[in-house]
Parts: sequence; structure tokens; C-alpha cells
Amino acid sequence: MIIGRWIEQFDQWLSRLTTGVSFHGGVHPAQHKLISTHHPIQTPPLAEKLIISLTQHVGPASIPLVEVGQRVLGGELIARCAPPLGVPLHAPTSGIIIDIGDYPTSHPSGLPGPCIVLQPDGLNELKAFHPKDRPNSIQSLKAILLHAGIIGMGGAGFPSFRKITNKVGQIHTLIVNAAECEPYITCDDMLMRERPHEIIEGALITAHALGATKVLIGIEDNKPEAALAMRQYQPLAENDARIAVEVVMVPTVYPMGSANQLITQLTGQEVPSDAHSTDLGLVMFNVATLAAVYHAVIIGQPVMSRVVTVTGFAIDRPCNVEVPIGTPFEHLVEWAGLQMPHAPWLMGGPMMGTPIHHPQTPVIKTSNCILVNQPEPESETLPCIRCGACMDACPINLLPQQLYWHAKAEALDKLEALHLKDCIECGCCAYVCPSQIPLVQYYRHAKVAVKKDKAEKEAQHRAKQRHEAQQARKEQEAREKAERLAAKRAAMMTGEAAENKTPEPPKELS
Amino acid sequence: MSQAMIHASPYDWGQQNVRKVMMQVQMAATPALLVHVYFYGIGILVQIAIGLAFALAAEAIMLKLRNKPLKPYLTDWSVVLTTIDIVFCLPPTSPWWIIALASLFAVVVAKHVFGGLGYNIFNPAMAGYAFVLLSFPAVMTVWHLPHHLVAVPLDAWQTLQLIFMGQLPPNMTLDALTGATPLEAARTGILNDQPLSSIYANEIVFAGQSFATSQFWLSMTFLAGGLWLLYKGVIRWQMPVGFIATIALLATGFNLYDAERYASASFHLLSGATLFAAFFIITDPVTGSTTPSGRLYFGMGIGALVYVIRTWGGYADAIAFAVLMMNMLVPWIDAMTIPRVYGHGVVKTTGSPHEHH
Repeated sequence: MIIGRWIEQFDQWLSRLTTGVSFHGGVHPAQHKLISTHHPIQTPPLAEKLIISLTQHVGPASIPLVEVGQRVLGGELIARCAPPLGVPLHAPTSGIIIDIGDYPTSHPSGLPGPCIVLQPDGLNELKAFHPKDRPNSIQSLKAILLHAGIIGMGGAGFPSFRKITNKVGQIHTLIVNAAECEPYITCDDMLMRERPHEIIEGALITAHALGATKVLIGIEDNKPEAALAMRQYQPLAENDARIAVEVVMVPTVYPMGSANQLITQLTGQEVPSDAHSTDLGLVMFNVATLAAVYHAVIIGQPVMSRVVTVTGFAIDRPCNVEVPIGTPFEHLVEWAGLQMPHAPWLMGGPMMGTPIHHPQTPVIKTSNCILVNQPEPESETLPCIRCGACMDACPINLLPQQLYWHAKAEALDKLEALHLKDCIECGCCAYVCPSQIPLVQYYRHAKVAVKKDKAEKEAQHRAKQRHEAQQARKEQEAREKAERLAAKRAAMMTGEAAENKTPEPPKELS
Repeated sequence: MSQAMIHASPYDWGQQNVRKVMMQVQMAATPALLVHVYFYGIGILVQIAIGLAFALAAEAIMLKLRNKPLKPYLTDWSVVLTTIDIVFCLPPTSPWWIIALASLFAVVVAKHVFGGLGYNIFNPAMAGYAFVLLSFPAVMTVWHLPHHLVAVPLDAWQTLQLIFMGQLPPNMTLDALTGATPLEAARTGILNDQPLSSIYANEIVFAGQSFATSQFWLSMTFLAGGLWLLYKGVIRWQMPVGFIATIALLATGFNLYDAERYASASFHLLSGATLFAAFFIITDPVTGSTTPSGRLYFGMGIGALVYVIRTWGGYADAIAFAVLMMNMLVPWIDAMTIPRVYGHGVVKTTGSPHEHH
């Protein structure tokens, strides 16, 4: 076994030497990023309707605070968070609330979700924003993150305040995820090129509040313009001088932008499976998230808009646009020009994106890209030939081929033993599979099956416990009843005996 | 906008597919095929034609019987590869029914009985070869001498006659055309207590020309093809390296102990099918180990078995048996060599900010 570890380490060392990548595996899909970086970030005209989803983030749906017919100003709170895990929502512009109800969302299920529909009045009247003091404590930072409705804008959608621990001094390094490893997507790239001050100031504000002394910005080396812009920016004088900012070029390999992989690349450390990056003293934010922090503190403005890449070979003028949250995808696709009416739409990149089933699906805080490409020719799936290409590509070092086998056989215990739950569904395995097996789909189904099985077992266990407890109680009751009866009978017997005894004449005496 | 996207991410596929993998292996074997023709004549091409005819027919019938679609499987090139793998192991002028039986056994029994492409436990080519080697040992050990060792080599027509009718041209004897392979010569020589140096001089080198020359050039072309496959990422380094290193280490050790009884590493590596097996046989993905270290152990196991059987066993070359035996161990090797998953087995510690890079 030890020799096996040596071989793995040797393999890893060899690959780091030749590629500079510190984690296992990874793939190099065609980038196609240049097609959307010709123009600066643009602002298309406002859509007629903004559909603001109440389920933008990981956690419970936000609770509407407005009524149909009500006029709201841009930046006004329109939905409050469902404590303790949600985030509030703000009106992206001024206008009238015309509906609150279920509308198509970009949720992978394709099912409609609760939304507030805002009809902009075109005035873009904003609520008065009040710049905030730079937060000096974790608590004040968390309050700002929460009230500005900031969530992980790289795609995870995890409320940012929940990422931070309350332990003072635990975080020593803030990692800025600027890898943007998914093909086609360039919104972070353009944001770094055009607004490095927002990102770096946002990072410095966050690092200061956390007590971190280092900001590490990891940028894939296919974005030299962005790296240059970030390096050239001189932070403001009022920043904490003890915080060192470092821009690190990382090799372009998918999935470099996956949180744990970037941490390993930048720090050489692995995040233990039973711990979080905060346990290593690290916290990671995406560039767009940090720009949102900048807005929340320096301007006092909540998240109202985001930069979205509208791209793909079925789009006339691929570009990046800054649009209000809730803008329907159709509005943006039409504005950028759609060449092929039957091309499928994706939210996100080709590796991890989700299919969009309805053109009126709105932009949410995590929508980094609308990708429209001509449909891929139907590929035929052949049997697995056990070539192991998937294993060589897996950034988690799982055995995708064995997982596939066990997933097909629904051998749930084997799947758990092979750490299926550690799979990040990055798609590297399916990408390299010469038999073109949709491996990730098998893992998703299997994960659900494992979860369901666990829940069922848990329920069975609980039911069994309940039954046993009930049984024990009944037995106890029966026993007590029996004892009581026995006692009673005994008492009666003794009574009878006594009764019988008393009249019994003393024979000896007689 | 299309509603018809059923499958989930990813929506981008790499350039590799099963057909291309098989084609690349085929291409890598082509230089060796040319060298083979140069040294042994067109016999191997005839064998490939016969083998392909039987193997493809068997594949089609089996697919039909198993209710599988013909087109994707017949065109996956795996049958072609199996046939070529068998043919390289056979004497180039062996009778037609040898390759016919070997490819039939490979396709029908070793492959389809176990479930077809991707499901077979045993390397089909080696199973087919072992089947005819065990069934017809006499025919299988008659090796055609390379052209440069024969006074008048067979022409194409005579080769066809020999393969199909078993007829030799008049006034030509089988003995004049055939001889023991270097491995065979070494084995029988050592069994008769001949020192290796005299075996080389008398049995392997004929009139200053060595049988080993043809095997050397074949081995070199297999090596070149194998390195190209490695470069292309079609095969992984662990199997060939484990296999070659094990044979080389064992051979060198015993050779140092007694050079007259135990052949050198270079003899073992450059004779017989060693380098062919290293890059083209044991690297069959379906029947080999799939974990990084498992692949190494798999290659090492075959190497050790090959050396043991060659040196102390009953067969001059032993690749087929070694491969088949290790095929049986693959599930166990795979289960014992599960790699460490990211984030598992690492200690939870708070790193200091100065630890980077």
C-alpha cells in the first residue's frame, strides 16, 4: 500500500513538474473565451419585465415584503431573508410590482419557482445609499454581507456571510477566486480588466474585517490582461498596510476554479474531507462577490445587478453585459443577436452549466453566463473499456470507472466506500470518456439514491426505536399491571387466608 | 430555442473515442508489421486476412445472437486489434485453421461469452493464442526462419500454398525453412545442459547471421510504436515500465549469478514477444488493472511470471499464460490499490500564512 502511495505521489510530482498543476487530473477543453472579450462590459436597454427569483441562493426562499401594484425604488428591500440562512433581495431598479408568483427559473429541475415581477418605469430612481464605515470586526462584516444580499456570485450561490466563521483570528488568508476555468465565460475576466479597484478594495475590506494578513488572487494564465490590470492597481491609502496582496498566475486547467483545487494550487494544502477551508485559516471569494462587497461598503449599495457573459457560436455579437437581476435571458440573447433559433441554451459553461428550458428564465445573482451553441451531434455511447482516462482526469482522485460500475449496479455501500459524495460533478470524467458515457449523470442519480437510502434507513431505525420503546413501555405497563394484579391477588389471598384463618379454631387448644 | 436537451452537463466532449483509441494502437503497430513482412514475407498479411474474416464473421453472429446493434460494435475496431495481436504471436506460415480457430475462440469465447466489448475478463487475443498453443503445440512451435537465414525464401504464391494447402514447393523441406526461435533454442539448450554461449554460437547465430536480428528490429519498432502510444496518452507508463523493469531486474540478477544458465536482460527483452507484449498486449485496458499503482503491479506480475515460465517452465515464451493469470487477479489488484481521495487521510491543521508555494 505504501508503494502505491509513492507511485501516486510520483505521478503527481511528475505532472506538477510538467504542467505546474498541484492537484490531480484536470482537462483542457477548448476555451473559446476570446469571442466574448472584444468589447468592454456593455449596458443593454432595460427589459420590459424583471423577474426576481426568491430562490437565488442556497437556503430557504426569501419572503416578499412588497405587494402587487406597489412602486419601489432601485435598491429598496423587496424580500427579507428567511432566518437564519437566507439573504434579502433588493429592487434592481425603480418600477411597479406587477406580480408575485411562480415563474420559470434556472433551477436544474426546470420547475417554476416563486418570483417577484417588477415592471421598470425607466426612471431608475434609486433609494438614497449611505456609504458604510469599513467593518472592523467579523460581526460587522457579516452584517454588511447579509443586508446587501451578497451571495457567492461565482456560481455557488452560497450566502457569503455563512462562509465566515465567528472565530476571531482564525482566517489568515483571503483567496480571491479569479480562475474562471469554465470555457466561454469571461465575466470575471472583464470585471478584473475594467474594475480591478472594486475587486481589490473589496478584498482588502474583507481581509481587514477578518483579521487576515494576506490576499492571494489566483488568475488562470489565459487572462494576462486581467492579471496586469490587477497587478497595476495601487490600493487606497486608508487600507490596512499589514495586508499583503499577491496576484498569482495559475495554469489554465479545468477545474482550477473549483474551491478546493484552487486552494491546493495556491497553498499546497489539501482541504480535509471532514473540514472546511476556514479550518485551514483560508476563506475564498469570487471576484464578482468582492466587487459586491466594495459596492456594499463604499457606496452602501446592495446587489442589484451583475455582469453576464452572453456567448456561444449561435450568438451574433458575443459580449459581456451588466444587467439588473431579473432580466430575462431572452432579452439579452435577442439583444446580442441569435443566429440559430433551435440552439439549446445553457446557464453557465459547457462543463457544469444547466440547461435553460424557458427563454423567459431570469438572470439571478449567480448567472455568470448564457451560452448558446448549436446542438452537439448525438453521440453514441459505447460500453466502458476500462481505459482509466476518467481516473486520470478526476481532480478528486476518485475512481470514476468503478463508481460508474457500482452506480449502475446500485451498490450503494460500495459507492460510499469509494467516496462518491466527494465528487464535485465537474464533468472531467465524462469529458475524457472515449465511450462517451454520461458519467456525471450516473453519479447524480447515485448520490440521490444514497441519500434516499440513508434517509430511509434512518427512518427505519427511528421507527424501530419507536416501536421498541413502545414495546418496552407496553411490556412495562403489562408487567406493572401484572404486578399490581398479583399484589392485589396476593392481598386478597392473604385477606382470604386471614379470613380463613381467623375463624380457624386453634386445634391444639380444642 | 430547443427543449430537447435531455442529458445533463458536461456538454463538451473531448476528442477521444473508442474508435480512435483502437485506430491509434493499430497505427502504432504498423511499422512493426512492415518489418515483419520484410523479414518473414507476406505470411503475416495472409494470416491477418484469414483472421479478420473469421473474427468479423464471429463478431457479427455473436452480436446478432445477443441482440446488439451491428454497426457501432463492428466498427469499433476492437476485433481488428484482437486479430492483429494474435497474428503477431503466430508462426507466419502456420496453417490457415490455426488463426481461424484462435480468432474464433478469442471473439466467441473470450469476448462475447463474457458480455462483449468492455466486459471480458481475459485478454481475447491471449486467450485465443493460448487455446491454439495448448491444442496444437507441434504446429505452434514450428517457426519460419527469417528471410536472411534461408537460402531461397518462399514467394507469395508458395506462402499461400503452404498456409492453405500445407504444401511446400518440390525439393524444399520444412526443416530448411524453419528453426527454433532464440527463446526456444535457449530453453532446449539449457535443458540439455548446454552453456548459453555455445547455444548462441550454434543455435541462434547461423553463418554469422542471427535469428535475433529480425527479433531485434521487430522489438525496436514495437518500442517506437509503444513510445508513440505513451506520448499520445493512449497507454499509461505503469504497465510497460513495471513489466519491462521486472523482467530486466530478474534476468540481470540471475545472469550475474550464472551467465551460462541464465540469459541476460537484453536477451529477454529483445527476444520473443517481450516488447510487443509490453506496449500492445498487457496494455489492453479492458482486462488490465485500472488504478495507478494497480497498473504497475499488474505489469510487474506479468513480467515476473514471464521470467519464471521462460526460465523454469514448460514453454519457451510465456506471455499469454502470464497475461491470462494476471487477468484473473485484476479485480483483487483493483480493490487493493484504491488511490487516496482528495482531502482524505490529511490531518486537519491550521496552516500559517507563510507556508505558501
